[in-house]
Amino acid sequence: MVSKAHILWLFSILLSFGAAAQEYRFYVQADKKKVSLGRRVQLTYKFQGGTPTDFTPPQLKNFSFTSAISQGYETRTVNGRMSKAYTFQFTVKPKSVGQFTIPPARVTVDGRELESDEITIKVIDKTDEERDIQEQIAENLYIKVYASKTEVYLGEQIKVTFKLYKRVDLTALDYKSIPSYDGFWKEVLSDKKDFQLQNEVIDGIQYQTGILESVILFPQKSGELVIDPYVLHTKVPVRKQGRGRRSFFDDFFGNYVNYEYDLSSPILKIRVKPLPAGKPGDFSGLVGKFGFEADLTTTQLEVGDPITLNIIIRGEGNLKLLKPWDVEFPTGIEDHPAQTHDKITTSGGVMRGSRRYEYLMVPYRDGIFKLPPISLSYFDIEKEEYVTFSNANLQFQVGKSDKVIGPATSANGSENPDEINVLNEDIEFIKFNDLQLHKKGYSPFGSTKHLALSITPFVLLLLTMFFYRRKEAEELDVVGTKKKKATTVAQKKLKAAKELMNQNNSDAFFDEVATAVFGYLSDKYAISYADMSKERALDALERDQQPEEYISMTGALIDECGFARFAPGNQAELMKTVYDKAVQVISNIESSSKK
Amino acid sequence: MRLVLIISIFLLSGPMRLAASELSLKEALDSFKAANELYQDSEFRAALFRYRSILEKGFESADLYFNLGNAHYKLENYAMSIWSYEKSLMLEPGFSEAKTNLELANKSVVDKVQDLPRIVWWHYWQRLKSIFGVGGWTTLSIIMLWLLAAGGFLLLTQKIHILKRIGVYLVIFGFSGAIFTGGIAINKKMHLNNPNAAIITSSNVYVKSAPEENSADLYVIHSGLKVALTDEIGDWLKIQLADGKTGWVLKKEMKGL
Repeated sequence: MVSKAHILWLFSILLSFGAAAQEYRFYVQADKKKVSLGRRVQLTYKFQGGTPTDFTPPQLKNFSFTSAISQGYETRTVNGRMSKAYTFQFTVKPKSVGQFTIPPARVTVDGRELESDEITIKVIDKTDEERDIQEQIAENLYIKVYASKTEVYLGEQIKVTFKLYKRVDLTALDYKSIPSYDGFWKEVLSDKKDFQLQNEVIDGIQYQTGILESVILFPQKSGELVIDPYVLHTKVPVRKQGRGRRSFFDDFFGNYVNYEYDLSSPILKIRVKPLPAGKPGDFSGLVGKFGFEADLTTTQLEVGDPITLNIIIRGEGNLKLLKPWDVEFPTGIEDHPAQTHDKITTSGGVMRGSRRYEYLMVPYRDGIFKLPPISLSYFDIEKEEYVTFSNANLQFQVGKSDKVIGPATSANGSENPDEINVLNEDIEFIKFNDLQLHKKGYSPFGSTKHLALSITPFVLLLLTMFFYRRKEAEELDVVGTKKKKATTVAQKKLKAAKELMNQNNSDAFFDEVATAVFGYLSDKYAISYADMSKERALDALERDQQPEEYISMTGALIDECGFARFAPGNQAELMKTVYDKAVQVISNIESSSKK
Repeated sequence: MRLVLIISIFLLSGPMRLAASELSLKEALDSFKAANELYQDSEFRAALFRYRSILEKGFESADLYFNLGNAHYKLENYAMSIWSYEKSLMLEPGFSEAKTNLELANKSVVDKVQDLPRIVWWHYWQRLKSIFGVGGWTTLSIIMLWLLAAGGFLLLTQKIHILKRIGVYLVIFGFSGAIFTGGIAINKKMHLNNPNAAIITSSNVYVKSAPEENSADLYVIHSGLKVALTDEIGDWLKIQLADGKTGWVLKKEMKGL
């Protein structure tokens, strides 16, 4: 008998031979060409002559995939020729009755996309017999799922149980798919390891039942969460339908076949409500019903003695998800990380019990220590509101002790290995000398001494100024009178000289005129008479910025007074000229210095 | 002449006034010496009482506070030793031994308070002020006044140009110097009379948000910490830490400087 598949197969071989350029073969095989509704067909795509990369399965309309694609590689020797083939295998299940062609699958080889051939499969309706068998099995073999609640708050516990009911014998039982509980935190009560069958009578009918899996779930996100079905793959021995209408499962004279049957629990949907608004800042994440205690083992102790803070939470709910408190201990306490002690049970399918956090503290300073308030906030599912417990009055008194304790002694700074290790540090010794005690409140600023010393320099300044000024004034006076007298003295002298001139006493006359001139200049310019000379007199005049002609006139007069008495000629006339000159010089100097 | 008379009366009145307290000063000095001997014999408690009695008589000095601090330190009253060294340094800022010992005593203080950041000039100014005590700055201001007077003398009496010039410079320098140094001396004196600071003496103190027992605890401070005082209501003082934190503390928990 040459089936259609063979023809196709041959055809595809011929095709591949015909197209010499095409060195590949890509074809499909099915384990059966005719299938009844509810059964499966295994499709195998084979590729020869290259290394395919991307396998794209065919687009299926009338079939649904019932397995993943498994890839393989096979070698075969036909007529001494070895052929290698890549295989892609999966199973499909028909959706309806009819004849369907499965469209080609695709692979990519060296960048080229290649198509496989097609295959046609005929789907027939379940036979009455088969339908009968399935119905019979379904009635007598099923899994039920129980949930303690299907609408819960985020974090609220639910118990979920999968239970097998059976009234048939099984020749095989595999765990095909076990739910993964995505979106839940689970605490397993029992699973397949604990699976045990027992007899149970339900509505008067004897069943064998067993709990496949039982868990406590804590939803970790809100929304509708789906719990996957629990799927078992079984083989049920079924007697070949023959004569008469006898029970299927009666193995009496039986001619049995193993009927493969996949057994699946219903899909369970859990609606998870988010926690209401108004969550306290210190919300612990606990949802359920709880009690809370925080206490200290003692309230009076000495430095170095241990003291323990116990925080205990009791109740029903997700206790195991609680995290320890991050207690901020005051300085002066050496604290240790919390130790957790659990007394939590899940008996009765509910997580309940108590959790205790133990914080050991060792104070190394004395004084009163107050712990920050320790509070617990949780969501009460019965009241449907947040509840906060708080213990704010945790304090204890630490007395001094002779014991030497940790950080208090490390104040020497020796923890730092880079620094010089100072063995002992001591304070500088007391002061013995210069004990300058003074009255409290005494201040050098504003003290008598300060004021006296501040005023003294100015008093001294005033006094010196006073005396200095007076002396200076006196000195100025002496010179002034002399200056004032200078002309009168000179006039007196000249008067005397005139008388001598009249007496014609020339020697005395010239002496008198010289003294008059020198005396005048000496008084005028405060030069002592003894030091007087022609040069000094002219010098003084020059310094007084007298006109040049006066200076030369004065010089000439002094010379004439010196030489005239020895000069020949008329002494009387000479005397007259000298006298006039002297009067002229003095009045000139006097008038020019008055300017 | 009348001025001279007034000044000399003024100068003489000082020693006369001092004479009245001369007797107790001598007593105090004897006490001081006795206390120092007790200290040397490691009788710290007895020495402490003696030092205190001198303070109670109304005398003080940087050395006295220093020695008192040492006695407290030896008796492990670190908070009180800190108080004493601070007092000593207030009177004599350049007292290096007091600085060393204060540093050692401060190691016992648990609270490490970060100073508020200040501009660099503030630090220079503080350091400059602490070069001398009130006495030192007063002496400097007196020197400045003498220089001012000397400058005045040169300026008013001398005829020679260069001397007159030196006189002008001296007047300017002495005048501004006297104002500056005198200003610092006044500033320091006022600070000394009213330091507005205290040392915490209780082992640990809960600083409150308001001046009442039931108000919230803000934070905890410990003995030996120096705090600034900014306000007072009844038995409560408002404190401020170097990092700017404020709060209320009972007076009995601290000792004012």
